[in-house]
Amino acid sequence: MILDVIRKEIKEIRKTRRLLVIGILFVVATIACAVVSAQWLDKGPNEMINGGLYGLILMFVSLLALMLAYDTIVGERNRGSLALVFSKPIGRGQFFLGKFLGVFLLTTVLFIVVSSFGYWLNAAIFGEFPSGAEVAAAYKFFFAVLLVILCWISFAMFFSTCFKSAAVSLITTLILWIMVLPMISQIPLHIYAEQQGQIHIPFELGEISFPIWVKALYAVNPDTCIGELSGHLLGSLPFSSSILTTGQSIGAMVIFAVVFFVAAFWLFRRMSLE
Amino acid sequence: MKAIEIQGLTKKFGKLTAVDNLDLEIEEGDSFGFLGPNGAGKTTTIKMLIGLLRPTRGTVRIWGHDMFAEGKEVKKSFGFVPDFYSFYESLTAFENLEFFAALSGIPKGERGKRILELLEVFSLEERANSKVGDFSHGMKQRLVIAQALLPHPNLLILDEPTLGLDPRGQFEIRELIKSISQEGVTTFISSHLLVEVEDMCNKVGIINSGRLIRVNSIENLKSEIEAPTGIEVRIECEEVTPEIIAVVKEVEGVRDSGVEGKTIWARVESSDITPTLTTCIVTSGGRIRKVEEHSPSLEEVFLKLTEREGGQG
Ligand SMILES: Nc1ncnc2c1ncn2[C@@H]1O[C@H](COP(=O)(O)OP(=O)(O)OP(=O)(O)O)[C@@H](O)[C@H]1O
Ligand SMILES: [Mg+2]
Repeated sequence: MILDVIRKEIKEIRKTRRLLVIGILFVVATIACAVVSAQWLDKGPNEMINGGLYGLILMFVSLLALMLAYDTIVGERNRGSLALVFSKPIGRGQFFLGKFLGVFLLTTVLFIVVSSFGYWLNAAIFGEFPSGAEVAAAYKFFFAVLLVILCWISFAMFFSTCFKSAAVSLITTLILWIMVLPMISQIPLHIYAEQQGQIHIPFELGEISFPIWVKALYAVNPDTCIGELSGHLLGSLPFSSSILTTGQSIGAMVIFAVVFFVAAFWLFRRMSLE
Repeated sequence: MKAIEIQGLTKKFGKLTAVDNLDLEIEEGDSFGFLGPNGAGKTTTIKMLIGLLRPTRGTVRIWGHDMFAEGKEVKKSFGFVPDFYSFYESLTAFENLEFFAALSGIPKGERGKRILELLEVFSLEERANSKVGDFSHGMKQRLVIAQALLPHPNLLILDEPTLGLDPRGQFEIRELIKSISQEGVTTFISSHLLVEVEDMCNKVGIINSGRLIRVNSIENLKSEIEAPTGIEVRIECEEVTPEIIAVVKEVEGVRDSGVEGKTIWARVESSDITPTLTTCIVTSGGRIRKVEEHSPSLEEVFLKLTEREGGQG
């Protein structure tokens, strides 16, 4: 049954305009990034995906995950299909998991295909193909991005389960993603650095050792964690130094994904359709 | 065997008691009309009945199984038609049915055949591959009933199945439901339309302001109302003479009578009295043109019952 739910979810999402719009933007941005990096910035594929420009492209992936997941539950609730589903002998957990996996698979496939295309396009234009080790590092990084996708889907599905209005779910999700989580992540860091007499973040970060609570808050935002990970997996850029280790970054993302998934799952199993 | 047993079912939304201590039993094979005005608590009751909404108090058993303890088992044995239509608009009719067939636990190999069978019964086979979003309201309603029938349920629960349909659509849906119950499927149909319940059901329960105020067969319900109000007999004669008026007044069982032009009317306890009335008129020299009996319609029964018991609209 879970496969049927996944299949239905993918079929349904494929027909939404959201997927088309964000997907096209993502493809165009990836191609532009590949071309610009190779032609004008003189960056090969691994340097490209470790750079700031590519960081912006990853925002599309996060956005895609959020936009596909924010109404997974509340949308079905409002359209009434959830009532029909709950009248059937399928476990709620199965249904939830099926929807989760449907969104995840779709986002993942799109991400891997488009990113691989951008990666190799850049290599072709750059005129120098990456070594086996570089390719391995790049795909390790892509794999890590899947964790970010998991985080944002759990996150958005949590709010989708909490609220009775799709608009509220969307706005909450987006505001937390764009503003609140980055603030939680960055502000303590800046305050602490300033207290220590370090004003020019991030250039001199390496000189400070941060206390655990600053690191913990810093790690709250999955987008931050993936930035840290890119440095670890693809080689640090000369001017940036890391605050979190590889293990800490991955751990933080796993915790984030699990917490929101479990909370959403729990709420969904207890949902009463009033 | 009892198809449905509801005991002490209560649902409160804050201060409002939407369903108040409801007890109800539906026998196998019954065709039960759950009748009530808007806001009476029909949908709320049905939601609890099929496990969508947790009751504040009370129990629900379907085919002897507790809804909340054995939900998964119970849900295999009934079909549900919600009060507002609820498909995936961007998917086709076939895709929608395929999905709900899967959720109903129909094995993969049997789904296609069953779906085509139902689409044909509901005259939707030509639109099997059209998006449901493009369907008319009537088509969607037929599709949602088809959906409920997928697993060959022996109980069908429908919440206002003809709501928003034109007279032709209403007729079609009613005929469909009647044919389904004739095949032995127990049906539970909520409605605020009496004609509908009269047409489709053998038993009726009237709910008002969350309280079940009557459960009875339709005939009994009508006679229950006839007893206090009585029925009206209207007899049109060629000429109404004072003798006739006097003689009618004297007939046993006549509570009230009067004349309107060439028609003499009498309010009587039951229609058994009508023959006596006509005989008396004829023996007093009257010549009868037409006899009409006017018993209260279910409409009146309903309005009467829901009039003052709770006082809400
Ligand atoms: N989720 C809810 N929160 C608060 N009150 C509710 C909720 N759902 C229903 N009610 C109230 O409970 C009462 C019964 O509503 P219900 O929908 O069961 O009536 P109904 O008989 O189905 O009416 P209709 O014929 O309009 O469908 C109404 O007064 C309604 O306002
Ligand atoms: Mg209703």
